[in-house]
Amino acid sequence: MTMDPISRLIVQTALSDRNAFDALYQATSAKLFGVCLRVLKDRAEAEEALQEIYIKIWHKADRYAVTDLSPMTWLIAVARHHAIDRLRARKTGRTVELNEAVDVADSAANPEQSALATSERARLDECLDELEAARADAVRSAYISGDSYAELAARHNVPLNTMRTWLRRSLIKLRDCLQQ
Amino acid sequence: MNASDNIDSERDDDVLAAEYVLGALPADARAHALRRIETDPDFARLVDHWEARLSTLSDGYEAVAPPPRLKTQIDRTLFQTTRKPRLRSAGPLAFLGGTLTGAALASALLAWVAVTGRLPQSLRPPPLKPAPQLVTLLDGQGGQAQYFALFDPARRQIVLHRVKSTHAANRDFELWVIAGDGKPRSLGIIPDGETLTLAPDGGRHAGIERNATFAISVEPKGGSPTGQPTGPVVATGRLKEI
Repeated sequence: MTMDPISRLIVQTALSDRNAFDALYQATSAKLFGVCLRVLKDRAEAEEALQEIYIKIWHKADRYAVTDLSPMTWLIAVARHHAIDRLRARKTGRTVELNEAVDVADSAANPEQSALATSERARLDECLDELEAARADAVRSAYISGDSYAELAARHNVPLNTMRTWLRRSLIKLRDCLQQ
Repeated sequence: MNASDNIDSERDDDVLAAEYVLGALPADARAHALRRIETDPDFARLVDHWEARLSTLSDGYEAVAPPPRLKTQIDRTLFQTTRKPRLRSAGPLAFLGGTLTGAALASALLAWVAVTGRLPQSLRPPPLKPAPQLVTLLDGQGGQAQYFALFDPARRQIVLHRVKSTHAANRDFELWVIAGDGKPRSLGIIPDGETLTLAPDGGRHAGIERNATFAISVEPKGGSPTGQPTGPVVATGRLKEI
């Protein structure tokens, strides 16, 4: 089995190989910057977050080796959670406009991964389609934009607890659907 | 973590893991979930499963090239210097990159993962006082033996991944650790195989620490008769934390 090039770069980064770290940054920083921009909706803050994320990646790259996650899934998870934590840590909510969703192929994926990702994406989309449209939207925008229960509740004009119940049930349905 | 967490049903844990991954929880609930990830491998595994399940939603993120100065700033923070040396230090790992191909390195580390079977902990920040793992490449002039070695203090295990080794049929390789006192202590005979695990018992594992040296000597079948290396030392490597 040949190792995915991004996997290899992460593993070499864990061994303090700066060349590998540079290559990893080159290959993945645009995607992770996209994550930061989308969640934080503020360019300066996204730039700060991206720096913190790669510092984190340098220090905890060894942890990647002990997961079953694909390399991009791991990197995006690190970036997304960091950005969401920053978002939640803001003292005051900012009023911001949501960016348009743009589907862009993952530049780091090879053709086989893309094919695999396409079928997985189709599967997840199918399962999301089984949810009520408003709930599927809430799932998507919570994930992509880091919207909180409170923001989603306000947008959909339902009480906060109702929104939380919606999403919890939606997630369980998604899980059951994906397991079929 | 309190007692009520322990009686949470797995289902509730799974939903909490899902909510954490989704990201909609408020800050305090996220902090609580993160503590669970750090302290509870089962919960961390549930989180990883959700990361995988929902990962294709991240196709919705548009790739945007960051300004070049960011990488310079990252390097400055991490290395206190702008880009220059090939590797961060001149320690044992500095030549490691040069001697092994990237693939061999990667497979060595992954082999270690396969052997130790560590649990997914992708999103865990480092525990408060983690005992650092130690790593080295054992190498020598003659090219008789080259092993990649990892010591995991949590499991008290040494995992050796063979890059190459040749010795006469009536000889064995024996692994030694030489710590600050300069006295070699045997860690055992290195069995044949690509990836192997040695578990030095409690007393004998003393001395496996940062900057200690691992060494491989050629010994009669069954190991050194004297308790000290008797044959030529064919490979050494200094332990470095990762």
